Amino acid sequence: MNNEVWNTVENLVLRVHRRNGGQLLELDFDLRLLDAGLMLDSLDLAEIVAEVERVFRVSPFEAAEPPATWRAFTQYLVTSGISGVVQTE
Amino acid sequence: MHVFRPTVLQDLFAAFDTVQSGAAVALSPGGHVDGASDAAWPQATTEMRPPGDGPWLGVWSSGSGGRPRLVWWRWKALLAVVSTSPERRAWSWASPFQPRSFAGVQVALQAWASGGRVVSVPRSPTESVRILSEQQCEALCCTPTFIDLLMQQGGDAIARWHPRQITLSGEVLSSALGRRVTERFERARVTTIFATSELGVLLRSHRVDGWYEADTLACEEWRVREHVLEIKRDGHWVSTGDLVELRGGLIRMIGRADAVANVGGTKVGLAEIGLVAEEVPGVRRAVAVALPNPITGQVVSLRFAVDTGCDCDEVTAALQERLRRRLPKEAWPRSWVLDEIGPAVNAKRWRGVS
Repeated sequence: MNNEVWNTVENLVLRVHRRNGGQLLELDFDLRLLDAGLMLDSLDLAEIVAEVERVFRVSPFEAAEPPATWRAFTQYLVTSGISGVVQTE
Repeated sequence: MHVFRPTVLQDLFAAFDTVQSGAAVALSPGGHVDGASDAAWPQATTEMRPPGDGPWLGVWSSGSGGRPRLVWWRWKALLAVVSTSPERRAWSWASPFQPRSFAGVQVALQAWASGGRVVSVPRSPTESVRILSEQQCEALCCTPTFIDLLMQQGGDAIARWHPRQITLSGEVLSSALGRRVTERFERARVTTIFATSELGVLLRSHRVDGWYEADTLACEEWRVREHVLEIKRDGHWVSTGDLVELRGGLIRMIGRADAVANVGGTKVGLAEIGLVAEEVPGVRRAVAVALPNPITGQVVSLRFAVDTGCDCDEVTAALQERLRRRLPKEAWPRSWVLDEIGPAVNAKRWRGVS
C-alpha cells in the first residue's frame, strides 16, 4: 500500500510536469513542492492536490504543518491512515 | 388574500379561477409529484400582501442569493404572454416544472387559458415518457437537460409520443442539443424562452441554436454592461444577472454572472467553460462547478456526459486538450468527472459542488 501511495503521487506530479514540457523520469521527493526544476506553478499544484484528495480522500494540507516537500506531502498520506483501496478513474 | 399550496400543475387551475375573480393569491411551496418536497422553503402566509389591490399572483423565485422569495405578478401581465392561437385549443400540456415556480405557472396558465389541461411529469425520464406517451400530451415545457434525458433514456415508449410543441426554458440551449431535439421530434414546433421569475418572459424564439433575435426583447430598452444584460422597466435599469453574447442582431445567454469560481484570486466564469466543453464532438452535456482547494481557494471541476457509442477515453482526451487550448490556465478544469448529468430542482441541470 505504501508503495502505491508513493507511486501515485510521483505519477501525478510527473504527468503535470511533462504536460508543461518537462522531461524528468522520476520525482526527487526531497524537492520543494514548487521547485523550479519541476516546472509546476500553484495552479498545477492545486490540480495535483485536487486529484490526491479525490483518490485518497485526505489532503496533506490538513496537516498541522503544511508540507514543504514532496516527501512530507506523501508521508502525510502514508501516515494518515489510508487503509482503503486507492480510487482510480 | 388567499394562499394555495399546489402539488401538481393542474392544482393551479383553482388558484387561477380565484385570481380571475379579482382576488390575490400567494402560492405556497409544497410537495412534488415525484415525492420530493419543498420542506426547506418558507411557506406563504396571508400576511404576504401584494403591492396593490386587485388580482395578483405570488410565485416563488429561488432567488439569486439562494434564498427563496415570493414575487408578485399582476394577473394582467401574466395573461399578456399567453398564446391565444386557436390551434392550441384544449391541448394537454406537460411539464416537470414545479407549480410554485414562474415557469410552472406559465405552463399551467397556457393550458388554463386555452381550455386545456396540464400534466405534471416526474423527474424520472422513463416514467415521464410513459406518461407523455399514454396521455398523448401535445406539448411539453421543460429544460434542455430534461428533454435530453428523455431522448437518452426514454426507451421505446418515446417513439409512441408525437408532440406538436416543445418549449425549452430555464437553461442555456446548446446548438448541438437543439439539433438533436429537432431531429428527434421533427413534427414538433420548438420554442425557446428566456424568462426570470422577477422579470417575466424576456425573449422567445423558434431558433434552436441558443440565440434569440435581440429586437424582440420585451422591455423599454436594454443594454449590456460587462457582458451582463440589463433591461429598462418602468424607467429603471435592472440587471438580469445573465451573461450574454451579442452577434449581429442576435443575443445569446451564456449563464449566470454570479456563477464564478475564484481561482487564486482570478474570477473564472463557469458557464462559459461548460459551453466550450459542449462544443467538443462526443460531449453531450457539461457543467463546470467550483471545487474547494487548499492551494488556490477554488479550482474548476468539470462534470460531463459523453454521447452514447463514443469512446469515453478519446472524448475525455479531446475535451481536455480543447479546454486547455481555449481557456486561460486559471479556468482549466482540474477535476474531471465523467458522469450522467441529471435534472435537479425544477428539472434544471445539476449544479452542485462535486
